[in-house]
Order: sequence, then C-alpha cells, then structure tokens
Amino acid sequence: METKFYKPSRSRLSLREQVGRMEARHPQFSAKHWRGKHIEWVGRLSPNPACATYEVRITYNIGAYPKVFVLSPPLQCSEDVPPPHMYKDKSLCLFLPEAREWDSSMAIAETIVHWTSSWLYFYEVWLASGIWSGGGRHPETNPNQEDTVQ
Amino acid sequence: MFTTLSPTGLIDDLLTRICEELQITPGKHQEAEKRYNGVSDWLGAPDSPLSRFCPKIMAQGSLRIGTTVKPIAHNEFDLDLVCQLNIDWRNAGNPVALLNVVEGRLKAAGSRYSNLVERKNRCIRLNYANEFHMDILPACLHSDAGAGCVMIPDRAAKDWKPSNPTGYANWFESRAATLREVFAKAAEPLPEHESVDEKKPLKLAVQLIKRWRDIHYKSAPKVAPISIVLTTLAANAYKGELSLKDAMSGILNDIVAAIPPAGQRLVVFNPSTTNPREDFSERWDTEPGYNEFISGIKTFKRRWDELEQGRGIHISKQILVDLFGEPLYTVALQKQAEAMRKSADSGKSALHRGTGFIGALGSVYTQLTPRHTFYGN
Repeated sequence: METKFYKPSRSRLSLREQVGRMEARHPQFSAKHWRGKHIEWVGRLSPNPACATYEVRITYNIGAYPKVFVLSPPLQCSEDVPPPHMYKDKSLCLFLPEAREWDSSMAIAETIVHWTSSWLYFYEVWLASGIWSGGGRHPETNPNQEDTVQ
Repeated sequence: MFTTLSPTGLIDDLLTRICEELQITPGKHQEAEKRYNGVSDWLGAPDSPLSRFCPKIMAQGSLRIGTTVKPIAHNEFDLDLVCQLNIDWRNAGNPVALLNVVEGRLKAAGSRYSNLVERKNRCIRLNYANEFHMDILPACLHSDAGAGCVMIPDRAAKDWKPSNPTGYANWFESRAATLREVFAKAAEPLPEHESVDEKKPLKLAVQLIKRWRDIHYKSAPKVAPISIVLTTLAANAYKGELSLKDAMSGILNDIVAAIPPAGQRLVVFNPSTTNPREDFSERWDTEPGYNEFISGIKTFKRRWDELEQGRGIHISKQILVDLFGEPLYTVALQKQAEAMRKSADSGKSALHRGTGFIGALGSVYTQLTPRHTFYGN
C-alpha cells in the first residue's frame, strides 16, 4: 500500500501555533506544563459513542516527536499479550517516523489526535478479536523515539 | 455504513453486519426464484394434471418479507413457497389428495425434480442440497373471503383452513415502514458505501430475534418459538425506531410487558385474517414451549439491557457472542474494522470536535484525518 504524505508548508510550527490549533480543533485538550520547548496536553477522547472514553496525555518537545500516553482507563492485555503498536515507554505508535508521516510543520491537533482516536478503536477491536485490524507495520529494530525530527 | 453521529452508531453497524451474514444473498435469492419458477412451469405444463388450475408459485414467509436467516443445523435456507391453484377449495377435495397429485407430477417421467422431492405433512419439499429446502404449500381459492385470501392444508392436512400470505406480507411491510424519519439524511455522507441496500430496522430486528431463537434453543429445538409468532410479536411492538439497537430494546420491552399473569397465555393472532381469527400461537395450548418462550425472552431482554453505550466494543462482545454465536460476531466485527480501516486510508474520515468521534467528512466533522501507519511492536 503506497503511503501518501501529508504535505503542508515545511516550516516548523511554534508551540504557540500548536496550542492555538489544539484549542480550535479539540478544545477538550487543555495545555499543561507549557514552558520553553515543552508542552503537554491532557484530554478525553472516544472513537465512537459505542466505545469507552479515554483520558490521554500528549507530550511534545521541539526537536522530538510527539508522544501519546493513555492515562485511563488502563490499557488491557489480551491473554497476557499487551496491545500491539506501542513503544517500550508505553507511548502509542501512530506513524512511521522514517516515512516522514509526521513532521514539525504539522499541527498535532490535525494529525496525532486523529490517529490516537483511530488507535483506540482498533485497540478495542483487538481486545475483542485478538486481531489488530488497523494496518500498520512493525520495525525491524526498535525505533529510537529520540531521533531528531525534521 | 455507520452513522457515527447517532449514539448507537457502531453497535448498530455491527448488528447490521451480523444480519448480512445471516440472510440469503441476492444471488441465491435469484437462484431460488429461477428454480421455483421452473417448478411452476412444470406443474402448469400442458401435459400436467394440474395445468387447468394454472399453478403459480410465489414466495411467502421470510423470503417474501426479507427476514431470512441461515439455520444453525444445516446449510440450506428454509424457503416457504405457496403454489396458488385456480380451484375453489370446496372442489379440491381432501388436501392429501391434492398433495398426492402435486407429488406425482413432480416425480413424473421427464421431471427433473424426482430426486429432490420429500413429502411432508402438509407440503412438498424440494431439497437442493447445500442451497435450499423449498417447501411448497398448495393453496386453493377462497372465493367468499377478501382479496388475497386462500385456503391451505391445516396442520393435520385433514382439511383446509384460511390464510392470507399477501395480506400478512403487506401488513408486515407497513409495520416496517413506520420508521421515523428522525435526522433524515443525517449530517454526514459515508466515505465507504456498502453495496447492501438499506434494510429497514424491523426486518433486521426480526432476523436477530430468529437467530437468538436458533442459538438459545439449539439443544431443544422442539420447544423453540416458531418464526411466525416471533415475527408478528416484533412487528406489533415496533414503534418506528431508526436505530436497530433501540428497535430491539423497544420490541423486547414490549413483548415482556405483554406477558399475562400465570394461568393465561400470550396470544399472537394473525393480523391479516379476521373471520375467523387465526391464532399463530395455538401450538402452545397443546405442546410444550410456552414456558420456555417466556423464560427465554425475559433473559434475552435482560442481556440486551446490558448493552449500554460507551463501555467499549470489547465489553459488548460477550453479550453479542452469547446471543448470536461467536463465528458470526467475529466475521461481523472484522468486516466493520476493515471498513473503518478503508475509511481511514481513504483520507476522508474526520474527527468530531469535542469528543474525538470518528466519522465521515461533513458538516459536523471538521477536518480530514491525514494518512498514517501504525507502527512499533
């Protein structure tokens, strides 16, 4: 499957711009701990009224990739197997770093939040069926999340 | 085909997909029609003893009203057909005699149906292995009664009794059409259109109830409530709900509320015959099954009430598996997830502001979801 890239302008969005977009798109995400090059949002997300509602934390440091953590309810294992598409630090794997599916010119509110909601739906389906149906790839080696972001 | 704005969006979608797995496919339906038209032609051919009665075979029952459900016990769909004959019932003699003539013709020299014929009590069955059981019931004219009224063999096949398959089908369709047009044309168009025609919630509800019946009474099929009783109860109870989940809640609540106190029995009349009234549920007077129906339907309602919103797809799984069977649930869920994935890949899905609900791009969904690939271990 060919991956199409989202191509906005190439210059990096400032934290102020990221905060502004988040407030406009997903006002339920409040900005916390915003200082210097670091921002954190916490908010509630549900893929569908049939699904549970999750409290989610998004952290972002300029120069690194945003990270998403599910705070509650705690993510469950299925038959002792943890959910796929998560990093070792328990953040969610939402995109391919090397394919530049996300870069700092993109609004987190218009990318990461969507992919998180989608992840949560497929997570619930995985709990019910044991199968991850959201597509995706596994790296050959563990991705280093501290790679420099373009 | 999920209307994600509605509170029951993905549950309704899942339930609808379960019904899709249960029902006869358009291809098979056409195949069945071709076959029974062929039987009609053979029965009415010039050299047939029945030719002067202009036999005409028509679908009735679930095939006619769109509530077919693949049985558990065997591969074949059970199709109810009526063979209308232009003979007044008073001139037709004993039903058994007429059935003998029909059977004879089907087994006559040159017939392609000889090997398929199975004589039943009040009908002739044609067995198309792995496809259909076609039950053909002869029907004579009932000239005194209104339009659509015919006479069919009674349960013992000793005499004729009135029936009105067309009247019943028309009544059922009118009940199905009471669908309330709330949020008609909901705000969002769908990025991935299913090719299945939009089935009315009442028809889907009847399919789910019949499937529940097949699962619940699997080990004791003789006491299972019969389809016509369940279909009529559901159609009587339906109040026009748009959502399938809500339609089921309403129907189950209504049926349980209508259960009379001990000593009396719930009675389900045929709404399309009035003189005399036909009691679809008369079997409960002479055979076991009534108590099993009462306890079964109460349990069904109790489980259905557990399907609360917002608890998670994985939470509703056990309820749906218990009610409808695991293989069916699994296939339906996979198909839903596949549709969601396609929708995400198409780049046309969007997020509802304030909640994060995923839906199609439209007036309440403010922005496109860019493509991405889940990654990691």
